[in-house]
Amino acid sequence: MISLDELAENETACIIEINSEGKMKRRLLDMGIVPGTEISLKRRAPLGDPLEFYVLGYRLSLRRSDAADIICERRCVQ
Amino acid sequence: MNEKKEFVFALAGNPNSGKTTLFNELTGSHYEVGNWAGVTVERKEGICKYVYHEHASRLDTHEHSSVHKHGELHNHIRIIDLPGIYSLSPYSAEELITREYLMNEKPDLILNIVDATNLERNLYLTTQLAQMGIPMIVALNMMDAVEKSGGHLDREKLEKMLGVKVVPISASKGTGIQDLVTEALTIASLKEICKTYVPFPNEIEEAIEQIKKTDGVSRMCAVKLLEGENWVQPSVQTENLICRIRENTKDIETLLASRRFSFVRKIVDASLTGMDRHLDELTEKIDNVAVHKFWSIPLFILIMFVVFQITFGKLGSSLSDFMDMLINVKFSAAASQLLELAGASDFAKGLVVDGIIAGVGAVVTFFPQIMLLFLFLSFLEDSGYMARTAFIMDKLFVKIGLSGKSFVPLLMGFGCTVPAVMSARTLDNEKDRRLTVLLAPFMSCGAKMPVYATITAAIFPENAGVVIFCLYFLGIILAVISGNIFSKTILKGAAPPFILEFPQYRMPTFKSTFHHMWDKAKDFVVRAGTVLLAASIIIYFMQNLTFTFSIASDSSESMIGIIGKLISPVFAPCGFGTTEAAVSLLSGFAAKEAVISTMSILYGAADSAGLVSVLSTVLNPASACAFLVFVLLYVPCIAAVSAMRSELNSRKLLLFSVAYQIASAWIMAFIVYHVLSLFI
Repeated sequence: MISLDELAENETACIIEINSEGKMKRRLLDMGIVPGTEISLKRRAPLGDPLEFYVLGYRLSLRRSDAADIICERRCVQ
Repeated sequence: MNEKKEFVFALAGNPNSGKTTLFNELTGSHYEVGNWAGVTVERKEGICKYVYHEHASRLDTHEHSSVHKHGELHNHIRIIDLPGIYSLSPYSAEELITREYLMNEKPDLILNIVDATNLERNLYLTTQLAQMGIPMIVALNMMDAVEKSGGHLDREKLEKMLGVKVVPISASKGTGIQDLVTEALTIASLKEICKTYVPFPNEIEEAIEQIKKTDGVSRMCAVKLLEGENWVQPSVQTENLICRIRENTKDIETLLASRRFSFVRKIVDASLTGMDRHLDELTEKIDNVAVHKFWSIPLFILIMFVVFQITFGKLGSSLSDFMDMLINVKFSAAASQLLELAGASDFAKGLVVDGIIAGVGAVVTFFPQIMLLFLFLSFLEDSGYMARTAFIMDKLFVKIGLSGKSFVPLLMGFGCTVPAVMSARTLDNEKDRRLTVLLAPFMSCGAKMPVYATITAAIFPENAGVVIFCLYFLGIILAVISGNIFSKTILKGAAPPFILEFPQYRMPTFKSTFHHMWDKAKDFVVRAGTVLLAASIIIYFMQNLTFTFSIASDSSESMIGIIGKLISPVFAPCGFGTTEAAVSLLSGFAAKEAVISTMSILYGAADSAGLVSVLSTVLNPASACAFLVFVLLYVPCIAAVSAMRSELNSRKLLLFSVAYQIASAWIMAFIVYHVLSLFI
């Protein structure tokens, strides 16, 4: 298990747990960041932060520190 | 359907789902803009131009170009545009509005627009809206794009599983809208409540039923109470129940969100087939350059350079010169001739020509440039590029307590502080918005350029470019320092969160871009006719009347002259303690370029060359620099201050901002004057 910011570019993983808090967590859940969802890291911003993810058919950008609170698993078991 | 009744339809949906386009299509772009009570979030509402036709068969796919005509209207439909949201949980002030509106105002129908190319996330909101106990219809937008990529949607299956009527439309092409309105009217008049049902675990279902019964709330409201959001004040009995459930269930928010998404996934898997779930290629190709590791920043700088070059360069300035000629020369001359014919007194003539036309005209001259700037920025925003600039710049902005989303508003400040302040509206949270508004005046606006140009021409003819560049740079440095101070003191809090969706790139239609531009620029036009008009009249009176309200024979006897003499000692420590400097700085409150026009009147200069030669004798390099720094930093013009007032929504913060700007301008000018005096 790794956190979302540890993914390599174009690597896909499966979300296991969201350890964010408060409004941030609510927003992430509402944007489709729920356990079992497949997510991949598209790219990092030119200055290294934030990150761009591909999830549920759309592109989502998060800061590294926020992505670090999301735990995922490299191999996705459907 | 014969009885006359007004229906209220609330338009709700995800951001980037085509909501604004549908709203414009439905209302024919005739709508009123206001604010939602208590907040500065824009509220738009309009009358639907599509009406129900008795003869229109439900199965009729023919588009009726029914135009709203007075007298023959069957049903009035009022469309309320709710802020774009991802869910009903209040994340920002905007999302709170949507929830409060639906709960308290109970519209006749929720018109939920859904982006068919992004069904899962869009339908997640649909499941929430459908459980508010209000009749609802889904407008399935961008079905044409889905079909183009080989997708097929089983509409009946979707409707059945979702429990809501679905009508495919294309908001940008305007197809399917008549069907949508006809179906919507039927549902609204029958008051059909949706049958959407997202199943939750047994224990939770029982609790929901219990809460619905004891507190008399909708299912959605009951679920949210269980999730720890107090949409309503629960009864004591319910409160105990909620406590028990939340203790027994680990992480109920995640559990319920997962259930909703798996419910939605099942629907999508069953009803949408053959859809290539890969990212669309065009967006992918553009992004490979637009957010590329190395190319993104040069490309971004190039785009901004081109925008500024066109807006403030040849094209923009020649348009402005044309307006200037039209208003300040042609119109002004015609008006004074007309007044002379009418036998108006010199004072009345002066008030109209030198006061109103010159004052309002000075700003109207900038309209073409402001429109151009807005046109470009609207295009960049509608195309989807703006979201990427926030992504590129975020890391730098975190350092001053902002997020990358503030970048564009601040950039616009180099053009004009008014649109910069107004565009801060698009930011998620209040702290972010306020900090951006407070920093916007530090970006040296275009109206200060004439002041810089004239004074540097007088004192530093050789190094004008360097001096002006240093001024812009000083503004940025002070913005960074002030941002750091503000975010650690008056606007405390961590850097705003950054959760941003990258919309797909789309070629915006001319119509929609133009609309978007006009939406933003309209305020500016209105302001010219109100605030600026009043300010121009007041300043003209003060320039020409004494405190006993008789006409001043000499400008030093006028109200402004006396005030100028009174306050000029304040500027003495900064090296420019003359009445002329004080008065021209005062008139700069009306508009920054007025600093120069006032100077030229006070010094009696016939033209700009004359003014330059006078200035070269009254200012020395140190005092000229101090004066320039003061102009750069002191309070922005009255138009900007009034924009700041409405966006800050706090008198205290506005007064603070004004005081801070004046104080920092004085202190910096003082430092610059004394440091430079040592060397030069």
